[in-house]
Amino acid sequence: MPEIKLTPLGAGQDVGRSCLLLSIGGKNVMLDCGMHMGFNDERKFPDFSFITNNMSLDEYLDCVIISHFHLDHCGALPFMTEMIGYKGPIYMTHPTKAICPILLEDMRKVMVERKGETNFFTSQMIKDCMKKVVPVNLHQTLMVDDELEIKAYYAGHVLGAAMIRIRVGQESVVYTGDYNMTPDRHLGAAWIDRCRPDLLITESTYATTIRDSKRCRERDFLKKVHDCVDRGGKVLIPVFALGRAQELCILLETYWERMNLKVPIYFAAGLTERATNYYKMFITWTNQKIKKTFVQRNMFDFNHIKAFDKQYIDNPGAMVVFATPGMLHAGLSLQIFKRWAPNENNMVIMPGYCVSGTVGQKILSGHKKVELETGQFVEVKMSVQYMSFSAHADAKGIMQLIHYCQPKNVLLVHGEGAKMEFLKQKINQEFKIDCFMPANGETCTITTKPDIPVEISLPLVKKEEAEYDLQPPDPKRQRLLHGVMIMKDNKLKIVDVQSAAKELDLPRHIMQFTETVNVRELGTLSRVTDKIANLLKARLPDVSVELPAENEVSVDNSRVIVKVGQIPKNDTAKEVSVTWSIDDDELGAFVFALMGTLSK
Amino acid sequence: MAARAPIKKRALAEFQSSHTITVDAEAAESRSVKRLRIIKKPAEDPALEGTSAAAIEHEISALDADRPASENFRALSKIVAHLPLSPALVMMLHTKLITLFPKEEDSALKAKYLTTFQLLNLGHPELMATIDEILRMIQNETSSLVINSGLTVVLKLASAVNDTVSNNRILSLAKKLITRTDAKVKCKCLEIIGLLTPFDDANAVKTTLQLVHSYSHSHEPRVRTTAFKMMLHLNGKGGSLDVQIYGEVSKYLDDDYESVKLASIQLLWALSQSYADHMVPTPSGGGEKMRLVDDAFAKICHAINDPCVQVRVLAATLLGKMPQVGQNFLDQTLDKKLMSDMRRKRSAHERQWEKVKSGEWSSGKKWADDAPQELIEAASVSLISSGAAGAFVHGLEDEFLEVRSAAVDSLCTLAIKSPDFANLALDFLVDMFNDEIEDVRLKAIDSLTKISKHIVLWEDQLETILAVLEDSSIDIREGLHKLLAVCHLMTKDCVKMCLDHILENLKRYPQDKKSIWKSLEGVGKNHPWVVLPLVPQLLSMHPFFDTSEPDPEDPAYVSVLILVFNSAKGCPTMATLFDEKLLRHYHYLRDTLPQFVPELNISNESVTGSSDKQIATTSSASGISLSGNTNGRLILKELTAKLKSSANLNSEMKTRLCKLILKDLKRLSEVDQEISAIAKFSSLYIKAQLVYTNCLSSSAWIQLTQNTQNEPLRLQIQSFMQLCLKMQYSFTGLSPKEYGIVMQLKLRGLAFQLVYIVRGSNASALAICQNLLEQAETVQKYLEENDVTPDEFTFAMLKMLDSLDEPKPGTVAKHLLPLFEAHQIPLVSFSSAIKMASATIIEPSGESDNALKFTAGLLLGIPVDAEIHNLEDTSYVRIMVNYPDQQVHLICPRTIDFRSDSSGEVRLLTTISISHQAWTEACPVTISIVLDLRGPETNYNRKLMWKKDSTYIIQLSEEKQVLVSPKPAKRGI
Repeated sequence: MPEIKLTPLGAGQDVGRSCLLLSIGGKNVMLDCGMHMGFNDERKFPDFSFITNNMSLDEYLDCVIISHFHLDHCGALPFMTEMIGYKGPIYMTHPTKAICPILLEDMRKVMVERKGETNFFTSQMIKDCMKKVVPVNLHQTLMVDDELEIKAYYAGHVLGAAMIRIRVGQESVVYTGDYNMTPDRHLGAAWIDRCRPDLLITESTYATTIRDSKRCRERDFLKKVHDCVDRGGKVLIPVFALGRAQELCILLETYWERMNLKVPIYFAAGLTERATNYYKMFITWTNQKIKKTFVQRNMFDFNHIKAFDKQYIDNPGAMVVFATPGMLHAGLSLQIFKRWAPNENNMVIMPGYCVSGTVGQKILSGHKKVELETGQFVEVKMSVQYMSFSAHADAKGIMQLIHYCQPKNVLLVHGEGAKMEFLKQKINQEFKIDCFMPANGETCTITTKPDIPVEISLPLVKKEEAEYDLQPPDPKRQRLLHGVMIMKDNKLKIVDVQSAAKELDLPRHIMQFTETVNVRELGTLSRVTDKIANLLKARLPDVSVELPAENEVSVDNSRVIVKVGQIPKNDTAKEVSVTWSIDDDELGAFVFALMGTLSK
Repeated sequence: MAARAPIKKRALAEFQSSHTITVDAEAAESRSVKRLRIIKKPAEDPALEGTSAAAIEHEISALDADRPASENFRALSKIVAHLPLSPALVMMLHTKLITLFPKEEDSALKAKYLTTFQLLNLGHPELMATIDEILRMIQNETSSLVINSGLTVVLKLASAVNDTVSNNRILSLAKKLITRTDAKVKCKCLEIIGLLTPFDDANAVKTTLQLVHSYSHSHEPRVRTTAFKMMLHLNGKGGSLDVQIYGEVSKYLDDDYESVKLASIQLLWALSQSYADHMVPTPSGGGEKMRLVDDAFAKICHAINDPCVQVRVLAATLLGKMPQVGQNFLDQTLDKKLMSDMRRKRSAHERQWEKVKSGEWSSGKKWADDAPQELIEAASVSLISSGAAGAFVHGLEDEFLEVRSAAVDSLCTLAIKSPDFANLALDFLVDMFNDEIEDVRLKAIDSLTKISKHIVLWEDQLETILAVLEDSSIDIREGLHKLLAVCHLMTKDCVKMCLDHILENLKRYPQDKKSIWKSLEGVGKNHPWVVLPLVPQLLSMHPFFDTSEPDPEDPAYVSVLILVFNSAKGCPTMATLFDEKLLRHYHYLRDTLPQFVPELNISNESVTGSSDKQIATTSSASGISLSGNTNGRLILKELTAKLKSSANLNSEMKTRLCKLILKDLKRLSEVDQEISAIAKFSSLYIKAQLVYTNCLSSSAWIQLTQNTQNEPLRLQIQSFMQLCLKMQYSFTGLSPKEYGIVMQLKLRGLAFQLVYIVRGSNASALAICQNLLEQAETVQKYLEENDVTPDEFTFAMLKMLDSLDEPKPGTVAKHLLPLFEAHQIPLVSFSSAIKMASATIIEPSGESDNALKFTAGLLLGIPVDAEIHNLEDTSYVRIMVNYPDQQVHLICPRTIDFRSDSSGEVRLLTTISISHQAWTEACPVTISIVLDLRGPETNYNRKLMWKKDSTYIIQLSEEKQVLVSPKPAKRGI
């Protein structure tokens, strides 16, 4: 039995450091190559020695596929290609290829310049790494080599996120990466066709959550911002550079447009501005509305949102500012927070989850006084709001995707073990298929029931079809195909009898039955023959009955031949012989039985 | 040269690809590819020279089986391009095709022959013969392409003929051909069987249905789709489906192919409509049963999660068409069990509702107030949406606006029928106010308006609704005003909040004034007792002190008054609260805005002397207008009688009398709204008469020669024409007879003009004569169609024109001249319910003293807001801009700038751009709304108009002036 093997090097019953090793049909593929943001030691990168055992990666891996540009999915890529050494192809979508190096570079700066990490990859390494990337388009089928085939589907989540189908021969696997089944303001929902893979590897971040409708949250968000700026307050929205930031920008931009508001919105420039340029370019990856309206106006060409300058912090009057980083632990967002916190007219909106220990987490849990570094305290009088805008599929979404593509097995990654357990049970129950959830380093083996391709000669199929189509289709009616299966050159073939004999160079033996019955019948031979022919015609209305020669009746183009002979010295009885070949046993037996009734 | 090579290559590729489309696979083998390429290029040139019938005839006769197929193909394409042909040629082509067909071997060409038949536009008997002929032709055909196109043509022709005998013949052939393996042929045969089966025979329909149904098991998706479609068709035509197939059909909802899914959902819906109360086993099994319509509803709900957009749209649409569905299934569609980390969570709607109930609403959202509560048992959670659960929640959240708007529509239709569901749907519809597409938002608002009778709004819901009042789109705002006018509010705080937001809206968008007043009128009417406790606060009354009197012209104050007065109508005690100045304002508003302020029963006793007097005067004024209905008509009748009696007076007396009557009519039209239009119309008619007699008696007319000074006469004729046009275009509701009179009057004017031009000037009269003839023809046609007898003048003129061999201007004028004196304008009275078109410019108001500055030579946009009354066709409406230097611009507004409402009034909201060279100081530019009739009246013939001729422009509105000052461009920037 062929097997598909999968080993998570990261993201097995865990979030972060997504890196999966897949062996399918003798090919080895690495799915994602991320880093763990929570660790600063060597655990931040996947353990590549697991694969190599001190041999070169090139020998083992056929290709690497990156699903999207988040660092927990692509962060370890330059490390792997440049520092460990891998020269094979890397596949990612066009937007991912464009945005990925910006994020890598940004992270590298933080690691090297702020945290003083040595032995880290350099800018040049990122560039070299990107040179190995082969871009993929949506729904484009790409052959990695003669047998390994990959195809990308739209996954929502972030710009350029893709789900990948990998196929070798008859076996196939779908890897979802991160995906989102509900559309948001700038991206559509994930979509896949009913490709029935042997294995679906899906993320399960929200395995035990069913989310509320998005509209309610959006409306809430907009109302709060609007009320605050109406009061003349300042709104601070700490965000991470990419993804949610763009969504919120579009949300606010359209709202400002609709409500004809004049309050300025600022976006802390830098990394994000460059990234927004890519959003402008990759319009085809966005949702229906943006795609449709971009001819008149590109939605990412913001009218109301301007670049932020540090001098604006103390400007009088209302304003809305997006600033990085998202958890208020450092940088510009913290700086702004420090200035604005003491005024109760102001507001801070946390659009995402905050790690404990950060200022963001503290104010969310209701601290009224927050210590910034070195004994500096800030009184928090501004209102603190929490809005969750997450771009992962919830439990229902995951089930929906499984329903879309109808896999034979499911494997859960990128989530917490306890939550996976629940989803696993549900998948078993509702779809009656096996579900796996390997931990890091555990190898999961899935045996597949392979389809065996057999070649059939076209005339054979056509003949059967023509015969079947004579009557209206009925699911209960059997469809029979008469032929010979030949195994030759490691291939299976079904051909009809004649060509099989010809191909095998064997003379064809024909087995024929001839049975004779004596019929008591007066009259000349020809009269008896006619009588028999008429009888046959009456009983077999669908079959041609002909008289090809004297005293001979042919049924259904000579499949059965009835001969009438004279019994010597007997006038009252005739000898009727029925001849048929073994293929037509049914018809022959019927005709012969009919002749038998004649004799009585 | 280098650039040319790739072009050639591409051209070659295009020709090759176009060839493969037209020729099927069998033909492609035998035919060379290049041949068509050579032929395609010259095809353009002979198309020009070969237009004559002779050339086509030549082509037809040249069709020959011995020629290469591609040449025949080309010739046939050319012939087809020149259809329709003369009947003789059609017959020739017909016989040619029939003789050629059996000889031909190329299947693409054969198919082309067949499709040509349906383009021939044959008569009924030939059609029958053709059908038989084609049936005979394809009987023994082997190529699927030929059979397919043959069947297609036969089906088309058969639907034109609709003959039972030939239909039966086609049917039997289709039943025979359906056994062929080709899927397209099968689909076509199924289609024929479905469409042509006679419906009068119940048995035949039943067997057909069975046959078609068995093909729904085909392995070929196209055949399945067609089978389902035909079953639906047969069902619609009365052949009733068997309820047993329900289970089977519902299995196909999960087909791999979209087209099958689409067809089967529709069939499922049709089944659910005919067998709504049939019991089917529940999907969970266990022997329980449920209604079929409920089960079907659940299944269609499930389809709202389909990967295919079209399926989702169809599912969302069909949900709204299942009114029989049970209440608990309906409620499920909006229910989505939320959970977070295995704990049950309440949705935002539920949370908000709880807060409102406990009275702490609008305390800001706290961190973790959405924290999940009790733990859920894993087994109790169903992740695959079973049944209808959450269908609309998903539908409203969909990525595609088609799905969303279909879901909103369905939600609305279902909610209209069920009050409980309406209350559930409310929150979701309100959420849709925030959709990214304006159409969807508007639809959500309209839907809420429709279901408003079922719901009562609370503060929290109202607040989110009111937030939309700040939307910059006028459609959205007006939609919301309409909603507010019909909805029910729970508490007095709601009304206060509503009013506050509306006043804010008025401040931001003053152009919404009318719509806001209308809305507040509704709010007042709906909530009399809720408004009552608010009155002192709203009107800032004080128990002891007199407060300053607000300005009754202030729109905001008027808004409040409208609210109060309308609620006072339903709450008599409120009137006792009104003080003296309020009563004055009431009467003022009752006079100026009668459509918004209701008649209140306010007694005079409580009122002090000064206002008593006022009431007396106003009531006497209103007394006139009340009884004016009868009085005005009497006066009008009297006047017309007087006019008629003047027929035998001498001309001088007559003129004097006419002038007197005109004066009376003018006054009458001012006093009485009811008959003012008739009075105006009558006065126009009389004026026209006066002008006419004036002209005829003027010395210039009597001694009309080319060298005299005729300018005054010309002007008089022009004013006569304009009077006619005014009568024709700016009045609606004329009876055909009255309209006929106007048209004849205009014709007289044209004749007048012609005579003047021929005899009194040296200008060319050719165009004007032609125009007269054309107009005479239309008038004659109109009179005949509406059975109106022409007056003497028209009769004589038409007779004269008829008798002329060659209507040259000179001769026509010569014969016309005596007619004028002989036949005076008849005296008629008008009595129909005539309405006069008019326009009021609201913006610009013309009162601003501030000049609008702009750079000379560039454009200045001036927003124009106008109301147009009683005008059916707005296509001739223009905005006329008069510059101080006598330049006149006519600006045609865009059609989308006309916004018509239900009452037939049209609002014109647009921005006109004006431009001019630099002036030294600010000067007024005059803006008015006019009808531009130069187009329809002259057929765009410039020769018919004098320079700067304003005859064809009819003023609809008063002129408004805007001060503008174009400044010279600054140099050296």
